[in-house]
Amino acid sequence: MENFIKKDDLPLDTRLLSEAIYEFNISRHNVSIYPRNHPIVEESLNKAYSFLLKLFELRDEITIAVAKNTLIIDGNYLDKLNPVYMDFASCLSKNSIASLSFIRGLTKEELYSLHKFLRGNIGDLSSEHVQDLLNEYKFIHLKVALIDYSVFSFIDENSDQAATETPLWEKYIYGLLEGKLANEKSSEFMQSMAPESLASIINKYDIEQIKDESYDHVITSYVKSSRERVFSGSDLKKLLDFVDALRPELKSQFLSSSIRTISDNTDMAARVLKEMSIDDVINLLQLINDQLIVIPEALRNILRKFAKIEYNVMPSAKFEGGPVEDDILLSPEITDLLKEADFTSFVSEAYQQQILKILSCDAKNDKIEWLNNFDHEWKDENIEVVLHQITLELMSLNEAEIIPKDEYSYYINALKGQTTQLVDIGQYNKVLHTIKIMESISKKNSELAEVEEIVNYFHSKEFISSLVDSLRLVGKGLREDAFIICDYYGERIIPALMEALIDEESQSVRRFILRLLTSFKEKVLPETLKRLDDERWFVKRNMLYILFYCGDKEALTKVRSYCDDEHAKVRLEAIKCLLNGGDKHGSYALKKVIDTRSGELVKQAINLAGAYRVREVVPDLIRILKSKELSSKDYEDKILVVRALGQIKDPRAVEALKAILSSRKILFKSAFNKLKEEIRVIYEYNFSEENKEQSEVMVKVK
Amino acid sequence: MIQEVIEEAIDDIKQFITSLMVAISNCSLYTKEHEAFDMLAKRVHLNLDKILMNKLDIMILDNELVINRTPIRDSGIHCKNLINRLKKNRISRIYIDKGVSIQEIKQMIIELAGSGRGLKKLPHIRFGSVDINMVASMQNSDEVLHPAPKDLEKVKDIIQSASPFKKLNVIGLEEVVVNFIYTFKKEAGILKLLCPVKTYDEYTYTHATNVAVLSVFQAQSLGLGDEILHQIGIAGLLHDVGKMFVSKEIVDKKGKLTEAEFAEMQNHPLHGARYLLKIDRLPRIAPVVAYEHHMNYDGSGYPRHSLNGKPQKQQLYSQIVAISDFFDALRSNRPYRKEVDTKEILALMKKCEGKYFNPFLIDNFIKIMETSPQN
Repeated sequence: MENFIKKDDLPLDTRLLSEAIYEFNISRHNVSIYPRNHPIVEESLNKAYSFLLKLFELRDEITIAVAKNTLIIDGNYLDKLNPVYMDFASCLSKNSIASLSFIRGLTKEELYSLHKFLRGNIGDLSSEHVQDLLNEYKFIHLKVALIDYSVFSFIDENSDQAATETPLWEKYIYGLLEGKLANEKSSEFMQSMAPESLASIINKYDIEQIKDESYDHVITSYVKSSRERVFSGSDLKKLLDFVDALRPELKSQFLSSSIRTISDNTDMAARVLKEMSIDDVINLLQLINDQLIVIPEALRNILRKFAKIEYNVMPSAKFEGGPVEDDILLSPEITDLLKEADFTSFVSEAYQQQILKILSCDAKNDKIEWLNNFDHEWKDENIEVVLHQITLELMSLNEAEIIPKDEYSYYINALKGQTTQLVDIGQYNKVLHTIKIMESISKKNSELAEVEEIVNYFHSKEFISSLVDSLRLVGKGLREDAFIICDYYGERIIPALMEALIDEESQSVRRFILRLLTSFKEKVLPETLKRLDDERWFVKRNMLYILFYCGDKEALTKVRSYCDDEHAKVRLEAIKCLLNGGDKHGSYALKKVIDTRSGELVKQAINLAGAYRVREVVPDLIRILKSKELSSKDYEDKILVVRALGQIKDPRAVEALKAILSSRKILFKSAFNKLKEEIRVIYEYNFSEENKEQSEVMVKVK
Repeated sequence: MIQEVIEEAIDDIKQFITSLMVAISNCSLYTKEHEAFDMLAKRVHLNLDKILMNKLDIMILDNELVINRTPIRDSGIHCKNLINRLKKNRISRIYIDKGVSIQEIKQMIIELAGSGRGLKKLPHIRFGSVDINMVASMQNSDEVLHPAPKDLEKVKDIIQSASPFKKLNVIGLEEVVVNFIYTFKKEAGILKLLCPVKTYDEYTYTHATNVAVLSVFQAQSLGLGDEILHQIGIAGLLHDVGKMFVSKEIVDKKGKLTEAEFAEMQNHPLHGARYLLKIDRLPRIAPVVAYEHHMNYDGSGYPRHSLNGKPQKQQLYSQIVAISDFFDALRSNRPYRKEVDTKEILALMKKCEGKYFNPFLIDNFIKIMETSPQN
């Protein structure tokens, strides 16, 4: 089943990567031994890097997948017995890497950083933690996928055995829980474990099987003190983190055990608590309260003492890596500030009292109705809109140098994200405002590459396509702004709008896009004529619709051939377009359609003849009027003809109309009467003496 | 080949997320009655259909979006927004089962666009939380896991209840300060922001605390929810953070500022906004408040410049903080003047309503002052 191929039979790119792995493995070892600037490191990095560069000439990205100790490239297994591949695969596996992708643009520094990452064995850290570690490297051209053990299973003939193999440390901990062992050496090993890792192992254990003394065994082993090693604040912190990561039903027992361990030695407890930050002490107390643990008297006394600790014994402020929170909470500076003497230098006794009173007042919810008016202000979307405006204001204040130049890229990225959101919610006026502001900044400060970059982005296909996507979804409701932003983009947005028109299923949205497109008038012509040749009938019809509104004489000549299109809707749209543009070919084509006398299409042609008052087809219409009726449906068609003649107002029709009025029929009497009624109405309004003069004028004009 | 398939699948997932977020944003802004809502929901449904094999498992793990156990990384603004939206609504897991209807999708969008409280159980959509130890059982459970109100209560308790530090016997605001700081401890890195303000000038720190207290209380008296109280508290505390970037001599000057000095001082809202904009995990209103707290209700005040020719409208939360700021500034002793009596300040504020302050908020503020017990 496996797709194992000999090295020489591998595709070139896979072969190159497999070669690179050799060099890569050597450089990995070198990096772990020598410093970055060592020539050996440099040389081996160069070799591995040059293979990858060759590879990038063939493709943008290549991925090595790892299955236990086997490497897979593009579905091809590399030689499973090759020690170099095995070594590299097991190195990746140990680091929880399921696949590693190299992307074009990879730098040598990234390659070096990857070595650094692989050098540190991540052990039993969860995928999330490994990801955190990886994030620190900020790889751009390296993608590392981590193994998800919950869904990944490796099946081979030894799988049963492999599955039952429990790691030594896991056995040890279960041994402790079962009260079976506790040896010094293993305890040291256990002490080096991260609290979360230990907890994750214990969490798997069946609580029913844990004996009472097991809790103490684990706790004492985990933070065991010795002559060389004393129990410290960090040990307590470790214990608390461990307890915190346990299953809820295990927490209480282990916490009790931890508290007992701390309380056994009051001196140690006092020292340890002193070493801990006040935040950790609060967390401890909270944990104790949450788990309803009774605090031993000795520990309680120590905690009481803590309430009386002088602040000047607390560590001074540290801003980097230090207990900043503690400084804020308990530093002399803060406590002095809050002591009455100094405090009143800013806040008088009366004001303090007032604030206290305010605090004890019950708030009443009787302003809900008023607040509803401001409901939108709390919405994330609205806040983002405001932040966008602020970002824009800040960026425009170049002369005040509010934003240092080296921070520009951050705000540019923020602006990019914000503008994307504005597009999503159809805030086209704000989008346009942003573009214009950025363009103006770019003009004034040509040295700001980031600004130029975002301006280019706003004019990129990607951005325009997202804008059109938004127009399709929400543009219809924000018509005015939609037209304005389309006008700003001009010809550049037309292709994307055309694509959207072709792709769109909703008729109302299509109509909206057509309106947007026709708003460009003659600017839309080149793209429209280009797409008129499309093979799809609906595309042709849409283009003809655009030409109906925007087509000039030259464009109309190109429309003529579509009057003979195989698709009836296209033919009719082309005729309409020509009639509207006053092109004589339209009348000719219309006459041709009417002459076919074939069903629905003729009806539409008759309607067009009326709407555009096409005198050339009057004889054809009269001919239809005089034809013999074979069914009541024929009368319905004749009604259409009568209406069209009424619209055309050609006196040639009068005689035929009068003849019908004066005739009688035995068959289809009701339908015939309807026709007569229609003629009377039409005649009265269009051919009577009062309107005659006007009718003639209309005819002449036409 | 494998890579291509994975990429395609991830692209489909991203497309689904984008459509979901666009629908949520539009629903949130324009309500579900918006004519495009139906179409937006349909698009979400369509995109979901592409990726829904049996069930879709959306999970937030440590600020990372995991869909069907696939981490979705570096996927842009929409993924980031989905994470924020779910976090805000206290949802860390959503299960969508095969057979989900368009109506259910619409309901989900509406729920996510709203406050997220009391999320409804839908036949094919379940909202829940992630408990690492419970993952296996959750998969088999039909029980709906509602977001625990514990966190919400905690914030409420932190702001409203007595602090364990009461025994330290520190007067006045101490209790609130500790409560705030305790709250801020839950907000990653917020104290690092606060610290420079505090060390820069003690008055600034005291003032910031008072403004936070007064703002939270105003908001509470208006009946605003706990989440908003929390945001306003933080925004109030950080409203003057921009002063860090104004020269110390000016901030500490024991007298009236010259024109040039005042001009520099007027930049502090800009600096504050710029500074806070860059901080992740901070309530998004914080930079807005820092920027707008010296703007006035009628559009006057500063920062004055405006790109679109009309002054930016001051948001309600900034109006609240501006009232607190004004009140506390006058109520406090300064090296160059004594505190002003509350009655005088309130009278002054009343006089300025409609120009500097929102009249409704001023009435509310005065009412709070007058109806406070023992007042």
